[in-house]
Amino acid sequence: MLRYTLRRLSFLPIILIAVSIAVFVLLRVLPTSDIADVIGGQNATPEQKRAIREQYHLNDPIFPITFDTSVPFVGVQRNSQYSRWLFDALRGDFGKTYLSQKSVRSEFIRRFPASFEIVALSLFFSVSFGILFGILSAMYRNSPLDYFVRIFSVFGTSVPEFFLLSLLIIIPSYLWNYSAPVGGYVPIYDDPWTNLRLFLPAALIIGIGGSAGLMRLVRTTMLEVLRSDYVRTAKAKGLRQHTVVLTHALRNASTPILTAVGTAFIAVFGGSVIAERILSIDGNGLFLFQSTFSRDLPVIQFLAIYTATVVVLVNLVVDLSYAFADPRVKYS
Amino acid sequence: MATVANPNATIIAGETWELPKDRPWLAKMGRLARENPIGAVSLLVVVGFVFLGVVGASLTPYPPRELDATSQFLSPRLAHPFGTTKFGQDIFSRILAGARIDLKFGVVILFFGFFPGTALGILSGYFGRWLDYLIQRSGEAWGAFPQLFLLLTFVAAFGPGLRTVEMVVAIGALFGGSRIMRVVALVEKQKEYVIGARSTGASEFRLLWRHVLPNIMPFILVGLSSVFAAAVLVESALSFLGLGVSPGEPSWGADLSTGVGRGSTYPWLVIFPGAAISLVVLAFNLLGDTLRDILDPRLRGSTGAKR
Amino acid sequence: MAEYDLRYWQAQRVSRRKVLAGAAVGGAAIGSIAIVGCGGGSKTTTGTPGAKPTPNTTSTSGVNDGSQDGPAKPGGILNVRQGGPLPSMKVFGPSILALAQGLYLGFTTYDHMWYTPTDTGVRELFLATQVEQPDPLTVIATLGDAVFHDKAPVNGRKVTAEDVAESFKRFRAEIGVGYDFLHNVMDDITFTGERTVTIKMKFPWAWVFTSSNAGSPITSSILPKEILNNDDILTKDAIGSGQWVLKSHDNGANIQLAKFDKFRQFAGTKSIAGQPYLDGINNKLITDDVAALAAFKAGEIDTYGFTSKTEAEDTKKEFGDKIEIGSSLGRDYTTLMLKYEPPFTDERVRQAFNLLIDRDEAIQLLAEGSGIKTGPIPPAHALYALPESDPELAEYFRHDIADAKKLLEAASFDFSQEIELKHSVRPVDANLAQVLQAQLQRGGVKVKLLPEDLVKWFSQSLGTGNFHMTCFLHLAYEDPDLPLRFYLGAEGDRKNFMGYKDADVDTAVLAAAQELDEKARIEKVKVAQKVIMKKYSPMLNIFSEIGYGGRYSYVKGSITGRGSYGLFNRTSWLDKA
Repeated sequence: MLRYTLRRLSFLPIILIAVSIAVFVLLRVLPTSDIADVIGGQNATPEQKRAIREQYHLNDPIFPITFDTSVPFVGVQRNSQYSRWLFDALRGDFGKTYLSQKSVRSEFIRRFPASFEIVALSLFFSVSFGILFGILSAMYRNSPLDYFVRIFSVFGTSVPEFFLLSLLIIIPSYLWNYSAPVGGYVPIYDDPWTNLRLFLPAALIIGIGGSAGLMRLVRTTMLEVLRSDYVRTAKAKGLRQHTVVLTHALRNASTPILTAVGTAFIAVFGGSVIAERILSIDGNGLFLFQSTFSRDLPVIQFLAIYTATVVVLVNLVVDLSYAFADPRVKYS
Repeated sequence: MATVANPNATIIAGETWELPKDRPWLAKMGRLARENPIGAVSLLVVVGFVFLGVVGASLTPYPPRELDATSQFLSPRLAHPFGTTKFGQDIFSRILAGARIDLKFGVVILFFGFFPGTALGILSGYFGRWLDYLIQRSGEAWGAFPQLFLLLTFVAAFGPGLRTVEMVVAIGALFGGSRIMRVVALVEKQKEYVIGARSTGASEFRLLWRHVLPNIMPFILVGLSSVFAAAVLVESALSFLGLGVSPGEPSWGADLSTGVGRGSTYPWLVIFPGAAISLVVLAFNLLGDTLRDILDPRLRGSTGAKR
Repeated sequence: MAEYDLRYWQAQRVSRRKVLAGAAVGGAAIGSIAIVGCGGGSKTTTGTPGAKPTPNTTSTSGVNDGSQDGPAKPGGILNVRQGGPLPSMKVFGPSILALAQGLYLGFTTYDHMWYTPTDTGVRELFLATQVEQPDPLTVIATLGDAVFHDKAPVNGRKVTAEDVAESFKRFRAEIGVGYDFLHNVMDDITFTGERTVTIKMKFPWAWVFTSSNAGSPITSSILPKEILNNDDILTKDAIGSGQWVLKSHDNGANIQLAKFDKFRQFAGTKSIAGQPYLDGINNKLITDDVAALAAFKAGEIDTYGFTSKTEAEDTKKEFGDKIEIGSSLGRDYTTLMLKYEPPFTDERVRQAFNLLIDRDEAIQLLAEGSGIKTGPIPPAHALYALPESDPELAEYFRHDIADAKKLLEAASFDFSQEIELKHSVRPVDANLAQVLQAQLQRGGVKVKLLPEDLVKWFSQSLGTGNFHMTCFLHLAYEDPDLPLRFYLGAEGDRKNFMGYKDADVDTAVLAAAQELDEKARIEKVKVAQKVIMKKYSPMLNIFSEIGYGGRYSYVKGSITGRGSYGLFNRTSWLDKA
């Protein structure tokens, strides 16, 4: 188990390097807007623009290895943009944002609590509702609850969250002149009421919406498991239904459910970007969104690495949890 | 609620597939549709959507882009059933005309993403080995990222616009399509009729074309419906975020987005475009579910479709 | 300039937010010229905190100098909206990116030698107690007594002439937009002793004291010389000698200001005793308009800039005497810019395009009817703009599709070509583009919209003249100098976005800029406008919007109707128990 974890973790740097190279190719090799135009404005002379590019090391070759016909085939560049970025990144320095000239890392850290809270709350609702109602719906098949869950899950996958989030803004405002709290992010431990007034409705929309797919899958899986021989045997032994469902059936259904929880996490992670954008929550999703439009390369690079790390770790946790949930799964 | 996740999430939701019995599936469709009123209604909505997408622009009571300074912000009424916008445009007309953008988008995704993906999936499932490995691993890597992150990164590189969005979504659909069809083809090549045909000396390609493909057609149909649901969602989401259509084009997502600013005074600016998106996505999802129910009786009742 | 934000480019709700965007478009509109104050007269701002101005609350046209509410009661905190966080506190930095904080801190924490309010056009002395112009190329200012805010490492020391000269030079050292006066007009700035500053110009420039020149709220800010190159302090804090001390901020958001007790310790030309009256100003970050209106109604903020006339009227109905609403004509204006190359080198084509623009319809569609058509200089610059009754202006505003078609045919205009109209995705620009597209198409001109993200549009399309047509909302310039300078042909460092150069226009504009006598200058500005209109110079201005603002009735002493002058906020006070 430990060895498996370590082996999986050892892939992480390789994946991150691959992702960072991909981002470099996308954002630097392709002709994009010239940061010297953005920063310098059109009054800047060519020399000044060159100085700006120099300052950001944009005149250097992009990758340490270049294919150059003048040098015999492959040339090695000592001071490439990529190696510079990589060595800085290894020291924890992800550069400064182009536009506001602030440390990318500290900007990220500042925004992290808000993003974390919205993702965590949404995931909590998503997973708890998804699993709870999925199980109930399977246990009481064809009951009104089951029908409700089934209808809800289709609506949940169909009604776009940006529509619901927009309604979340305009309906209370239309009816009661109500608005969410103003004045920026307030940590939950400082002022739980203000904090939750902002985050709870959004998290409910993203979370419950995201739970639809999970709900559906839990229901299907549970129905299959409940029909299987060992569950029938367990029931025949005279075990109570709750015991059967919670100990036997759920455990056997855990693998696909855990996979779906992983998928739900990724969905919620993406959904939080839209929520931050619509509700003006100053988190990392909004940060990415703004940086995309201003082509703030250091930010996009860092957030891509961050996202990749999150994705890899979530997948690892999901894989490891198989073994805990289902004793038949063994890693060696 | 529906997230802009992998457009193929709904069709790869971890469910296993079983092929229909060897009876011709089309013949069964009519009866099954009668048994599935929700499926039938969804089919109607879908047909309506496709119809609007093709001819909707010529059916509009008012030109959808025409500015009219005398009819700004009219509430819904007989002449304007869905009200009018800041520019005095008839929202009903804009919604009719807006179907075209989504339909076009969906078709692009089909032809540049899903169909090639399907072919790739069948080939990789059928021939397996390194091709299979390469495609599946790349697909997993691609699918692991939240699609919005991919979209934003590509927008940063290529600039906003439907082209960029199409590229990202098509790549997703390519991998998604290949993933499902691979599983289907894997199952299929073990079937007796394939083995039987092979023993008669039929060439592999002919076998694939004449025998395997018709048998997996139903799965392509299910996938198609999911691809469209996802395409409508993604197009509207991205236009909502301002990364999609250019300003003024009658796109449901863009209209919703421009409406939000005045939505608390004029709610119809938001409600009707949002309802249009929801309705069409719902119809495609329900249609897909119904098809799946029909094709795979074991999973029947696993969706919202009531019987 | 409607503020703009990088989350932008679509929902209008979003359009009224914020910063960088605001900054960027600020730069955009200003172009290569200079940065001037904004806000004040218009409902729109850069998203500069607190700069969401409260337009004239007592009448729709009058000027309110803040003294009409009787003797001020000192004390109290004014709560205002902040549209978006400031990216940094550093007022000079990479060009367009320093605009938002440059404006905000320039109006609050930093003092200036003088300021020229847009309504009077008459220079008002600030830190300077005396200004002389012995010859057209020299300006000599004598400074009064003042100290900086009591923060390390400056610790409240005296403001000297050296600080002023060094600050000007530091601004001049920046590259990029906004510093045209410093780069192209000013030859040198020197100091003699502690109190005398001398500005030498390369050529006579009558606008020297105005807001896009040496009276700019941004580039004439006085900073202590020891922090001019200290980025550690500059990015996080502001140490000036202005009426407000920067007390705290949360990474550029929720800025809190406190009264500076030792503000300008001399009896200046105008009594400022006891000013500012408020104890402080608290900015509350509210990026969203819907949320901001709700916060205003809930009393969380004391002032609010409405998004439309109807919104203002509805709110007034609901709140009655508890609030006051007012309107004022914005100095920002929309424009259609044509690249000076075929087919637009033909004056008949430009005239035809101008005839195709239906300014009345544009005002109705884009501003819900509250706007005024604008010629080369927006009507808010009442001293300099041509009166509405002017026949040549009326001819310029004429909308006639049939005549336009005739002109186009006479010029053998190719109706089959599709002309690109580039615009930023900022909602205000995108909406304008849609309206212009529809109006031009009524004359048979095919127009293709080409939206670009703001930074790209600004830096790579407008800035480099890489467009056939483009349209946008200008900033609210504080003087008529900038609107006219857009028409000046390229020369030396100066560029012309349209690639336009016309000897007659240049002569007329420069004649006005170099006329030191004010009365004569006003006439020459009018002549220059007529030359520009007669030639249908390729920047066709459309209209300025009337902005609506509201404030609670207990907010007294606000200066309104005087451009950005109210943003100094020295005379506001609260009539609360």
